[in-house]
Amino acid sequence: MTPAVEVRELVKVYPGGTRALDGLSFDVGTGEVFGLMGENGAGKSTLIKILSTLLAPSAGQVRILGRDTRKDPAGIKRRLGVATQDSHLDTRLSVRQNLIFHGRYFGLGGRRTDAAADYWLERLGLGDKAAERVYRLSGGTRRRVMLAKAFLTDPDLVILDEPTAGLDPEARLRIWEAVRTFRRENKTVLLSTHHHEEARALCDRLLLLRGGRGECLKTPPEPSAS
Amino acid sequence: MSENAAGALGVLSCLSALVLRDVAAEFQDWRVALARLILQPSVYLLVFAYVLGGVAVFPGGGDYARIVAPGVAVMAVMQNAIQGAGGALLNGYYFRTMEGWLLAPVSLRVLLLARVLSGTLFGLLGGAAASGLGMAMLGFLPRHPGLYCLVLLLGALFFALLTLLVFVLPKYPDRGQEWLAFLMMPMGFFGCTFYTYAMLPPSLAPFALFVPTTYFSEGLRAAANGASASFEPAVLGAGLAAALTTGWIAADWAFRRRFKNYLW
Repeated sequence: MTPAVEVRELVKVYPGGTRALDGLSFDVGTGEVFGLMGENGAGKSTLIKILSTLLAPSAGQVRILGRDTRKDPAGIKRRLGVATQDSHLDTRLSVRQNLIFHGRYFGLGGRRTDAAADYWLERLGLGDKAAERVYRLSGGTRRRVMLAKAFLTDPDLVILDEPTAGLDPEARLRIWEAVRTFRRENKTVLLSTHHHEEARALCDRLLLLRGGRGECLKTPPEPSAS
Repeated sequence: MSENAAGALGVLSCLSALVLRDVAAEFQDWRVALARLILQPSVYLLVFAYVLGGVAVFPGGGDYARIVAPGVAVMAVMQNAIQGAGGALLNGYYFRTMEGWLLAPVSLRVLLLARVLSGTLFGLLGGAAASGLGMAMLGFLPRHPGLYCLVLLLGALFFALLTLLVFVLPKYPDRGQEWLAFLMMPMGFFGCTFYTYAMLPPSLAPFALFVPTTYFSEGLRAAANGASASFEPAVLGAGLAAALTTGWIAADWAFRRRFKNYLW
């Protein structure tokens, strides 16, 4: 079976000369929950942006769901859900409007988008926030809306950048449960986290990033080592 | 349905959603949006047509209201197209919302088209509002309404393209904002908006030929008054075509160059 994510000898050098990724290679199997760990500046955000097709690799090859990120970014984005660390919600719109427009980008019809929005709002405990404009929301609530958006279009792969950072324990458990349910449908999750507990609870395998290079692990390293 | 037809339908659905989202966001507070549409052209029409038009004597005489009303419409087209095309980029840059539309499942060219359509739509709305005010305040009615609307549309398209180019060309869009502020003054006031090209002294006239606003102002005047006092229709057409073609090629190149490797 084709891996959901294939990364070969990936290098990313920024215009100023910073080498964020330096010959990174790994695979993520379909239906796997794959963790990314590493200190700040280890290259996690750069890797996530490349996997999301936002950033172009300087060298090496990246294939997502069997497609090359350079050749078919639109085809990849069609099957991808992304929750970045920064909220990219439109603060002038309501929570529900953000989800509805996102669904429309992916060609979901009106009823299907409405139903998916209702489902994910309930699922992530956002039912009472649907009509609220995003600029009124706390950081934690925005993060949950981002996650609802990532799952909304029923993607084959979701990329979650520190999905539970700053959330209370109840919200964190809801998100863990959403990730587990998603994975039970044989879909793939790639998540970056700083929490060892989260990595242990969710991830089948992990990539530990250090200085732009990676090491695949079965379990999270001891805190001092990461 | 064939795969190609389904793909085209998906692209159209995404394109319309991208534009509608800009409209929904802009008109979330519709009172502010409406005030922005009518306030500036009202002030310009009041000051230039009523006050200045009432006291000044213009070479060749004639009705100054018919000169200034199309010029004010071009100013409104420019301001609103900049707002429409640049708003999503600046908001996206300052509030990190840009990834929201960059992750839409379409090519960069379709994303560019969405930004251009938003800017054009807002520009057209601004032009329509200013023209409506001109009609209400000055009793001004265009002689060729169809041609008048076409020139408004082309003007809105050009200023949307120019805005995108200026925002995505520099390293960061805040620098683009500075460039645009620098460009707007000559574009607005030296582009034959409040006077005709024929009214310019011969020493200044050649410079106005390099300002695209000149062709849109004179084109709108020609549609409004039956003919341009300054240019032959072929010259006007060539000026408009050159501005739009250059604008499209440059904006397309700059947009794809900027967003195929998103570093903002």
